[in-house]
Amino acid sequence: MPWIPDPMTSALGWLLAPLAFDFMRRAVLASVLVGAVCAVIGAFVVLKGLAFIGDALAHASFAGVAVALIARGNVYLGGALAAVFAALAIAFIGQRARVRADTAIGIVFVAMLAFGVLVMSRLRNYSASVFEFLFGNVLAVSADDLVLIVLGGALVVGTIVLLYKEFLFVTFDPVMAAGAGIPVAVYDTLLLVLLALTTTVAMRALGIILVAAMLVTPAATAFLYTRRLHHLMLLAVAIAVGCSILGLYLSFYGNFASGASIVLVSVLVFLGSLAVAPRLRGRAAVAALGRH
Amino acid sequence: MSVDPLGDPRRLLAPRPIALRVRDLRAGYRGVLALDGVSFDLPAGSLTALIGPNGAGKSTLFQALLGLLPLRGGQIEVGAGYLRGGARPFGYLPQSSALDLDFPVTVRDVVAMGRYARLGPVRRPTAHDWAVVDACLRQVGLAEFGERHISELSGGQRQRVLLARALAQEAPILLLDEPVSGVDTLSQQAVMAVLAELAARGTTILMATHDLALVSQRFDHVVCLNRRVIAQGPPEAVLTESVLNQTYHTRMVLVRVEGKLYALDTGSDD
Repeated sequence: MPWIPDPMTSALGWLLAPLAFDFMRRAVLASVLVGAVCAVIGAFVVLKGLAFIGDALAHASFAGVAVALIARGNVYLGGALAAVFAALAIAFIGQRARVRADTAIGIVFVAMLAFGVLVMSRLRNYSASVFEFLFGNVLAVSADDLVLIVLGGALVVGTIVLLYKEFLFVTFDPVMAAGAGIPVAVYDTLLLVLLALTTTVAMRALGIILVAAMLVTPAATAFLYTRRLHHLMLLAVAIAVGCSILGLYLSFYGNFASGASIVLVSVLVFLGSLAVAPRLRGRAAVAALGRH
Repeated sequence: MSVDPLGDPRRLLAPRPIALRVRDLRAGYRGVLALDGVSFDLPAGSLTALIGPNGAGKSTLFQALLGLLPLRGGQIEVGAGYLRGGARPFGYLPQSSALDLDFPVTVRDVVAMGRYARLGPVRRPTAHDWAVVDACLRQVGLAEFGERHISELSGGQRQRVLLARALAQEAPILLLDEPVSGVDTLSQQAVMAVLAELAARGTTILMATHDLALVSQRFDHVVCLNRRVIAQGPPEAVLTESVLNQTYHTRMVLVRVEGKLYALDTGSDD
């Protein structure tokens, strides 16, 4: 039996004791990776006001998860396909529909969620499965899940790093970007597809209801402290990693649901920041500098 | 009606080549033809004002020139020698009202965006690109503002940043959509000085504006637009009560005080 530090005697013991368990080591890795990926793409979610769309994509992925479970397929693949389908549908609606985009999005994702619940209700241990996918269970992450999180996360973050300046331009000033010859609709659609992949990657660790919270809160917190986009992203990653570890430890010692614990810690950090953050921007800063 | 620019001595000595020729351009949104048969020429190196009331199609014209709107007809020809190495011929400064001032970007970040399209995807701005960015900021008089956040500027300074970004595109033709509207006098003068210098060095500039006094003093060419071109030519020939009344659908009285032109609107309903 390996040596297990006593969590009651020292801070180091408190930190190390959970890591004696395989499932906890995987859980820490998974939640840190998921938090970091959510934080990077979350910068665009916050700046473009996509929180509702992120939520919708996550819910839509449930339809694919349900079908995969029934058909004994890969739930990640099913979820990813459904979420990407919803992303493309939302992009299409946003670019041509006559109804208001948020109305159409609301209908699409509710329909897909209901379809997922309908399909899943045919399963024997229906409520347990639904609960797990809606709220996540990072403690149940397998080594295979971890590989998928690493690959999916690398794809999302790698694409954003490579096309950073294009995403920056089309987010900040789509009119000028289009005028300069940047295919704005292509980058907008690509961002939604990456968002769909992120919600799938985060599904096991956070659950599809709580993903939206991690897409928004670390980036929104970092927004309060930073004045350049890449600084915002780096700080958001640091905040997400910190909140994920702290939330996971609290869930371990308090025996809470892990996803909810991580989300609540990051919301508390955001609220604290709102109270103390330096007001780098906005009208107050302009007034302080006076006229030139 | 087209006014022949016979009054311009430079034209008589050596006719300037045409940088941009637009013929019978038709374009619009959702079934409404905002531009219905627009034709005009921009002489190379000219500083041209685009005037017309709100809704006359000024912004639509820019969008059509930039290829952001499908054309319903007509031609846009860019003069020979303006399409070097596949680079886009137009630099652009959109109306600034839509900018998100809370967005995490500094002044230099914004100006650098002018380089992005020519860099292409994936490639990062090089030392040369940053040198161009800093030169453009110097040109608009904001050299020491590069590290400021965009919210830490006055409205006039922000317009000069957007002008610097358009300059950073290093395009032979500049399309500027109301860069001096609602801007303080100092910034307006700074912008006009930069534009005069650019035009003198051969850049062709088309700028939408509502300021007729500015047009009469600082521009060498005017295009009056209201769904079609009402008149074009040098300001002293074009800026007449008859042309302005046709352009603005109103009754104006022009007053000249110490060489400055003022238009008094006597027939307005609002």
